[in-house]
Amino acid sequence: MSAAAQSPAPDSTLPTAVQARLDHLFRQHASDDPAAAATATLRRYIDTYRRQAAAQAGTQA
Amino acid sequence: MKLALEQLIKGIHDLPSLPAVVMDLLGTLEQDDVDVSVLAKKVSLDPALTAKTLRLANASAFGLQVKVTTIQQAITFLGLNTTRNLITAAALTGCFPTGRCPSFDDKAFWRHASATAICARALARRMRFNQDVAFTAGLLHDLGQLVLVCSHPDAYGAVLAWRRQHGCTLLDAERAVLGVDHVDAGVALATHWHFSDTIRQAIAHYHAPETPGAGFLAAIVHVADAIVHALDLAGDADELVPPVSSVAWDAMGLNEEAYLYLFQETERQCGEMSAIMSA
Repeated sequence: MSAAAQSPAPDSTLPTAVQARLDHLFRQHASDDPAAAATATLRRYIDTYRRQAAAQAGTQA
Repeated sequence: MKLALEQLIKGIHDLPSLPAVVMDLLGTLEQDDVDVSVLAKKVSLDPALTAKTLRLANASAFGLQVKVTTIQQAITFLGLNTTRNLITAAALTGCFPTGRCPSFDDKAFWRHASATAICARALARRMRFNQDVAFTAGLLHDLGQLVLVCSHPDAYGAVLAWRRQHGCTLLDAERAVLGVDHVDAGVALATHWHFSDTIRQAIAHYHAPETPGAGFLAAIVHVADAIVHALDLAGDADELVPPVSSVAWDAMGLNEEAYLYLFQETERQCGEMSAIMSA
């Protein structure tokens, strides 16, 4: 099953390096800024996508 | 160093010409009645363009079961529209000399451009928009950067240093250092190379797709560009996701599941193509 088709495990967390890189990529965006709603949604989806990939990699290891 | 518009235009005139066959191709993007045999013959007269086009055609992103060895075969197996995209992509990479600005990563540039093209095509498919136009606009959206790098390499080195120092977007750094940005340069190039109005509008407005009259293609390229930055596909240490326009994002009308699939599709398809583009 593809990473995109799986639901993320509720307690899955991002590896620290991945989390740090995402924070760097989105460094100009404050998550509570209502004017940046679309950016915040993109960030949330990317977090989910990376979390699913990490969970899948963990399952395969 | 501030650049005047005249200097920008002179820089464009000093660039190598786009092959005539590619100019013809870009003019036919929104036409279906193209004489395929004449097109294949014209492209085949340029061995370097033919070779690069065939390498792209044989990349796994295009899913061919057999290797194609001629432009005519590529058109037969991939169709006119995809082959036209590949010829355009192959030709563009040959127009800009590399290595003029040591701090500018040409390979990262083409990784971003080809990934944006692939993502824009995937978005267009869901929107029932012309996928070939979206692919081409994605590929061309940042060409203004190459214009600035090739015509003013030292000044562009200062732009990149400014961006690193201030942690800002490239567009902001260009405006601060040069007084013009890659959107200005891209629009000037699009005019010089006679790109269609649709493509020129997308290049002009993809950073501000909510501008009245920007067009839907600008919104597609805007969202594709942001996704590709967020997926970190260029491999640029200073990568920064630009602000995403709610107008453009809402216009896509996709849910989370659709986006997750789109991310996966974009990542899967872009690796091999960008390697060929930047070779």
